Amino acid sequence: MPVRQHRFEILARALVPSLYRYAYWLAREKTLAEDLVQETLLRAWRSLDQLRDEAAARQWLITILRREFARELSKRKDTVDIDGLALADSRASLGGDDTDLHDVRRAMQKLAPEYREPLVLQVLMGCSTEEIAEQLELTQATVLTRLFRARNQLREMLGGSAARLGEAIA
Amino acid sequence: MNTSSNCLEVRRILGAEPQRRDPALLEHCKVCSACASFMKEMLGLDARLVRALSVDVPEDLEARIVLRTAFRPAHRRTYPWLAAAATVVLAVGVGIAAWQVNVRERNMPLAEAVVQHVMQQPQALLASTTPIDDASVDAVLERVGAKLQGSMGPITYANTFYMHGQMGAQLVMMTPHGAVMLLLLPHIHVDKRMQMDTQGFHCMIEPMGIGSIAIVASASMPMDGMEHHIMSMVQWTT
Repeated sequence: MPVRQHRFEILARALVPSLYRYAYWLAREKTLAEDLVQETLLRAWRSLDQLRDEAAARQWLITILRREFARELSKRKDTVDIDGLALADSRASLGGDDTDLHDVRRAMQKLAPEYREPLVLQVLMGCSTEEIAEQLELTQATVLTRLFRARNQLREMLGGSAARLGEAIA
Repeated sequence: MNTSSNCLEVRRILGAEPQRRDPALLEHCKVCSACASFMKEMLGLDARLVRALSVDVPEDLEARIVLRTAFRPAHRRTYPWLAAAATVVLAVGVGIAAWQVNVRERNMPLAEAVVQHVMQQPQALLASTTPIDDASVDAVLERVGAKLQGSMGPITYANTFYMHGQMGAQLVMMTPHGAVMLLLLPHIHVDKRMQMDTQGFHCMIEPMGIGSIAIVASASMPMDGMEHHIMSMVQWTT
């Protein structure tokens, strides 16, 4: 197998699962998430020679995926309410009979995108505050504030005991 | 850190980065049960988040992506043959989709079986871009009662496979426009050409003597009569 193809396959095997999950929580729609990941990886395949450092692959792919999502949003702007898509998801995809899973997923779906995305990047993709700030083109202080508020809102929705104190801090 | 203002700062940090482990933060939580409790709550919330965010990933997503790259040149101007290869593979899939196996115990439609076979064989396309020797190709074709007349073009993969209990031969051929997958099916006859577009592939099945040949390539690739050239090169020997 050619070295280039082998390199790509290793990359895909390592990052497709987390990229799909990130795309899902970005778009909140399974089909769109699949399309985003496929297009992201195909673009990555075409530009693989630009990736000098494998350690930077995750950030590189996130950047491509976010651009693809922005492109898709732009195309759908006048025809589809992207915020309405998630609520159309079946109960099964939100966790089925697993009450806690269902509750947390519903709460995540309800978070505003500006709070949900940094949280997903941190918790799911393992990005540092600095990396999130770079991706979202925000200051690190703003990222920290959004992360705090995101968790605070989740606690409120999930009935966390310290919600009020968190609110006071924020 | 043991004043109430420090408590607020500690909780601000923990709410944004629950995994953070600054010595001063940990010291504070040792002496402040409220902040220790807050830390525990935040870590618990993150554990629930990790679980909730881990939605199921479509099982074949990675395979589909890898397969598509096999049909797609990284640099179109440098590897135009890759696109052609993709076209051939697509054509096979289309043809097969229209096929129905005429043996009752074969409960899966042939078209579906062919597409599934192609989707599960990315290694055939990715195995190499280096042509294999003619003797290896001839040996595979001989097993299914076929032979090549003249040079079909660079062949990078040749192997037999079973579908519905019948042996066929699978070739990956490089063309000036890309890779093409051919399935030689000596035991399956179709009366006329069948075509199908599915999952980004164009599949074509052509009747050929006692059997048939399926050609699969990228849906975006024009066949330009490639099937006629391919069929003129293949002959059944039985």
